[in-house]
Amino acid sequence: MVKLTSSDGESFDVEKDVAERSVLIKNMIEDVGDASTEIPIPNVTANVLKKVLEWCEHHKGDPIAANEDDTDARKKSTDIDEWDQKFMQVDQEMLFEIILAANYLDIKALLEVGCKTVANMIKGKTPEEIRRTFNIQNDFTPEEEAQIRRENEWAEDR
Amino acid sequence: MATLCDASSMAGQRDLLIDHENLTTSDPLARLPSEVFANILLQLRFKDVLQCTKVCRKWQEFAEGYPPLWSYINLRYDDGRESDATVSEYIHRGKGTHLCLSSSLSNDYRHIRGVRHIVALKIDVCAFNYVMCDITSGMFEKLRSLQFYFSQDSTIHKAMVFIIWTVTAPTSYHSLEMLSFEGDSTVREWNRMLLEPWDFMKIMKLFPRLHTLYLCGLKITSDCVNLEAMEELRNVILLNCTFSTMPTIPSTCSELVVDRCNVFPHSLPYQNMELSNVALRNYPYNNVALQAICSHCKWSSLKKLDISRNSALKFSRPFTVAGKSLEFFITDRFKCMETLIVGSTVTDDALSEFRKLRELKYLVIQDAQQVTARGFHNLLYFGRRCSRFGKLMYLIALVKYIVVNMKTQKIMCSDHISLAHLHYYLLELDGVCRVVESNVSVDESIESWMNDIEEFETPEQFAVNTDLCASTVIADWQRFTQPIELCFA
Repeated sequence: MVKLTSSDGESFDVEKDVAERSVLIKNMIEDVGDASTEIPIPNVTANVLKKVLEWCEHHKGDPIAANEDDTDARKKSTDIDEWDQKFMQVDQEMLFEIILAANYLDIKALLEVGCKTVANMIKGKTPEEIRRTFNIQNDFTPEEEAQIRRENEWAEDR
Repeated sequence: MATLCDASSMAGQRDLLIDHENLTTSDPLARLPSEVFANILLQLRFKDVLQCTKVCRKWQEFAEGYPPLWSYINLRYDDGRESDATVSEYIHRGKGTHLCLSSSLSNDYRHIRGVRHIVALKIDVCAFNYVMCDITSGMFEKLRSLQFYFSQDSTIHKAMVFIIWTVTAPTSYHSLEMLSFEGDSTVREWNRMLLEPWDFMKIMKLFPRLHTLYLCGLKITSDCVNLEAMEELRNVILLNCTFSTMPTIPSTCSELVVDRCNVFPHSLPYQNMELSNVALRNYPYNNVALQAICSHCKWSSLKKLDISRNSALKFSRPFTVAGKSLEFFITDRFKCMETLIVGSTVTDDALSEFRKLRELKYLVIQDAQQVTARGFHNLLYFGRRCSRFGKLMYLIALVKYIVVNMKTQKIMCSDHISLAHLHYYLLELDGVCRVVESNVSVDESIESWMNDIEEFETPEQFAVNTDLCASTVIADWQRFTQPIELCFA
């Protein structure tokens, strides 16, 4: 068992192989050489850490993705496995927190799922719909917008 | 997030809430690190990326300033055809000047025709017959960089490149500066692509301005691969090639990298005054190459020499000519050398000999994982003792390495040398007290060096000049063709 402490001081006891889904934690355990020490996770709050660990728990048996070159990144579709999809049904704030935590903790597969989830929120939308999704203000001037529209109208109806 | 839900139920106040509460918090570009956001964009189809550029200024700036989104155009999509049309339009609109064409499910490449603004093109020969034809008829008049690779080991496709060129007799490519044939480097010698000698030289004549020639995995059995007449040629990189003799290179050449080739080193250009970077690695006829260096090479401008992975130096016995060691000749002949790359079997005696190289800034020990703890200690000691030795001393192995940057006091190492072990030696080394990162990949380390080391003239040069390019191609291309690996490094 490994003891992790979130930034807000809450402790989590997790199995070693669950915690080691995170490359960062794995390295820390190796460096410390003693799995019983408490490992602080200063950048992740308890509610996010809990969520991340839930993911790690479910995926603990998965083979760790090899760092192989995958030059054909684009061909990978934005398909997400069903459990992950359900898992990612959280509010946007939590979604971003999970992505940030996965990035920080170096959990490649979770980061991937997070990115795909956000990508799916963009996919097939018009700029206005994207803005609405993420509450982004349109800071183009009307002239610029007209210009962009002219430049890109060839791409619109395909 | 609750505010958003509330907002939708209270339609009247919605705008107000969006403006003040959630304006920046939900924008993934503002919220997430840029490499993560880039990853998100890379998951999207081309059309969606275009939509993203219209969202707001920041998104536009980000997406347009991120070349992999635009340059790595893989035509293989689930709904290939409509994307093809989009991509086609995009290319014709003159934005993407770098194009990588990889294998595709669709066979319609006609939209590439008539494209004149492309300056850099990477082609999977096995997939692009039409493009091949168009190139050969001189379509890409601004083309500066042309790179062929073979996604599968297909002799027919390999032969096609040359046949089209030699049979259709296209016009010359006066703008082409870099030409690269990247065969499969794992192909065994007898399977290497065979080129008729006259074909090859005939093709070379099409590129009068060629600056860089990169050949990998070719077999050119001729005694007349004669590049001497190509006066613009500066960089010759030959990997995994089979020649009957070493191609002659022009005397203005400044870089010569020969790795895993069979060439007879007795045809090295002995008197080349321009030569600044030489790498002679993995020779079967190793002794001859090293003897040449010892006996009559006069490369007075040589700044960088790589003799790592040389089988003559594999064993710990010293390599001598007329009773003098190789190290003696190196220090004696190449006085302005700045970078020296040697194998891990380098001895303590050799290290002391290298101290005489007054200009030496970087000593790289290849395959550092083979360096014993004692050897490593010696090296650190050497680095400390010899202040002239410079700000930076590092060991590189292809994956396993330690980097000690004396100037920034940063240390990086791979996970193969335990941190504890490293710490022990660091105590010995004045001023260096921090272990910055472990478990960084080689790509990341290159990036870090680029940031840390201003002594290297340009990042491109760095990548081209080191042996690290052996497994890749030119740095420029990496950036455009391997978005994930490189941009996230």
